[in-house]
Amino acid sequence: MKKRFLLGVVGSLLILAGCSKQPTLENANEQNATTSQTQQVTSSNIETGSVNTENTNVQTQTLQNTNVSVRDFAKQVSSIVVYFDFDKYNIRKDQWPKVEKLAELIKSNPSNYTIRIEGNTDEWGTEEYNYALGLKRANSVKKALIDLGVDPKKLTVISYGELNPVCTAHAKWCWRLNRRDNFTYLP
Amino acid sequence: MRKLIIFLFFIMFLFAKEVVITKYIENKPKISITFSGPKPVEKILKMDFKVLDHFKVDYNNTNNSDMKFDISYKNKTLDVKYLKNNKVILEKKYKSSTYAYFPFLVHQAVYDINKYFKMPSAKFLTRKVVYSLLVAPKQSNIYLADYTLSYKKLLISGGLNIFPKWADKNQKVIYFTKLQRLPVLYSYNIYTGKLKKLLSTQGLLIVSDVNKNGDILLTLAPNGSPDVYLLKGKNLIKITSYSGIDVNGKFWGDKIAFVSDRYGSPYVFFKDLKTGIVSRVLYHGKNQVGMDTYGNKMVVSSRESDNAFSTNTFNLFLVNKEDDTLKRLTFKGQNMFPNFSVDGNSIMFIKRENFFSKIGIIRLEENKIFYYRLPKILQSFDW
Repeated sequence: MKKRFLLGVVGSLLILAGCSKQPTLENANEQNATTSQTQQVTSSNIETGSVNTENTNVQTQTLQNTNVSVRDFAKQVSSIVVYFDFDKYNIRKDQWPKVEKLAELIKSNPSNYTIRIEGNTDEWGTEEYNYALGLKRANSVKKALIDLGVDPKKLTVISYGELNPVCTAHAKWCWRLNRRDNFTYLP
Repeated sequence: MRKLIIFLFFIMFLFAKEVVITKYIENKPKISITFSGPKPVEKILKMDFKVLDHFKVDYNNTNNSDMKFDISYKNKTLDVKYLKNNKVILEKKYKSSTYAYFPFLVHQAVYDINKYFKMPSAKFLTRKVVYSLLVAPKQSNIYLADYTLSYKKLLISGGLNIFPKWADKNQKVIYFTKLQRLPVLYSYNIYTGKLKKLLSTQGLLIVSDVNKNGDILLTLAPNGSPDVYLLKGKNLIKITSYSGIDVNGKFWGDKIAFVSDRYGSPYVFFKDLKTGIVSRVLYHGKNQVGMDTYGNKMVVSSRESDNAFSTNTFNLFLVNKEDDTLKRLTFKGQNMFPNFSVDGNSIMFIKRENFFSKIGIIRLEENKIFYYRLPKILQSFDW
C-alpha cells in the first residue's frame, strides 16, 4: 500500500512535470527579476485566483427510496458537531451518542452522496500541527462510523486546522467550541 | 549528549537573569546621518539601524563620527551619499517603480552601509517575508512583506491558501498549499505570476522545509496518519512511520528533526538517517510545538507551565548540536513560531499577548530582542 502510494505520488509528479502548459494567473505581468539595488516586485494582479464556492450551494433533490429531502438530510447532518478535548483526537465518551446518531442517519439514507468530515482545532499550537490534529480528529470519527457499519465510500475527510473557527474570542469557552468535527453533505 | 543537555539546562536555571548568547560588538563605529524626505521613510531607516545594532548612530550631525551619510528620498528614489571629511566618497541610488516599495530600498541601503564597514552579516534586513493570514473562516490569503511587515502585497487569494515557504535562496518562487477537495501543492513565481501545480494527495500536504539543494521535507497523510517525507528530485522517501502525528520536518545537520506526539503530547524528535534511530531532542516542558533549524542549531518553543492556557506559557530555547549547548532565549510570555533568518544570526518569532501579537526579532550575536506590533495574527510565515 505504502509502495503503491509512493509510486502514485511520483507518477503524478512526473505527469505534472511533463505538462508543457502550466496554469498561469491571468493579468500577471511578465517581468524578469533583477538583483540590482533597484530590485522590484511586479504589481501583478493576482486577485483573479480561483474561488472554491462548491460548498455554499446545497442542491435540493429528493433522495431515492426515502421521504427525506436532501435539504433536510443535509441540515440534520450539519447539525451534528462532535467536540474534542485539548490536544486530543480520541472521541470523548459524551460525544459517542452523536457519532451513533450520525451513523444511523447515513445508513438510513442509502443514495449516492458523500459526507465530508471536517476536523478543526483551536488556535493553540502551530498551524502545521493543528492541521495534522484536525485530520486525526476527522479520521477518528471516520473510523468510528465505519465500525458502526457505514459504507467507507460515503466518507471523505478534510482538516481545516485552526482556519475555520466558529468563535474568535480569546477565551477558554471559545477555544472549546473550535475543537470539533463538522459534517457536510456533498451530492 | 542528552545528559549534557539536561545538565546544562539545570546549570542555566541556577544562574537566573539573561544568558549572554555570544560575543557582543564592543567597538561600534560612530556614524552621523542626515535625512530629508517623508516621515515613514525616516521611521524605517531608524528602525533598521536600531534592530541591526551594529552602529552608534547620531542623527543630530555632531562632528565626532567616523563617517557621515547624507540620505534623501524623493521621486521614488533613495539617494545615499557616503561622506568622509565632508567630501562625498561614494554615492548610491536606489529606485523603485512604486512609493510603497520604499522599505526595501531603505533596507538595501542600510545593508550596504553595514557591508561597507565589514560588519557581521545583515542579510535579514533585505529578506522578503511571505505569510498567510486568515481573513475569514475558510479564507486565508498569502502576502509578501519586508521584515518589518510595513510593505504588504497580496500574492494569493481565493479559498484557503496556507503554509507559504520560499522554494529558492533568491526568493523568487514560493511553495504553498491550497485546500480544495484535496490539498494541492503549488509553486508560484512572485515576479512572473507563474503558478504551477506540483502535487495533490489525500488528507494532508505541507512543505515544511527546503534545503539549499532544493530537497523538500513534506508532511503527508495518505493513510490518515501524518508522517514526514523527503522529496529528493523525483524520489519520495518516507522518513517517519508512526500511527499518531509526525509533522514539521526540518533539516538539522545530517539529521532530520520533527514534531511528534508519540509521547502523548507534541515534542521535538530527530531521526538519524544513518542508523534510523529516533531520539527526543530536549527533555523539557509540557509540549514543544514550534521548532526551526539552521545548520546544527535548533530553536524550540516549549510550554513550561502546567496550565495550557496560562499567561506564562511558551519560551524559546536554542540548542546547538555542534557544541552540545542549550540556551534560554526568552523568559516570559507566549513565544511561538520561531524562524531562523537566512544567515542563522537572527530568529523571528511571534509573541502573543492577550488580544495582540508582536513580531520579535532575536539578534543572536548582539544578544538583543526587538519587538513590533502585528496588525493581525499570522498563521504561518517564512523569511
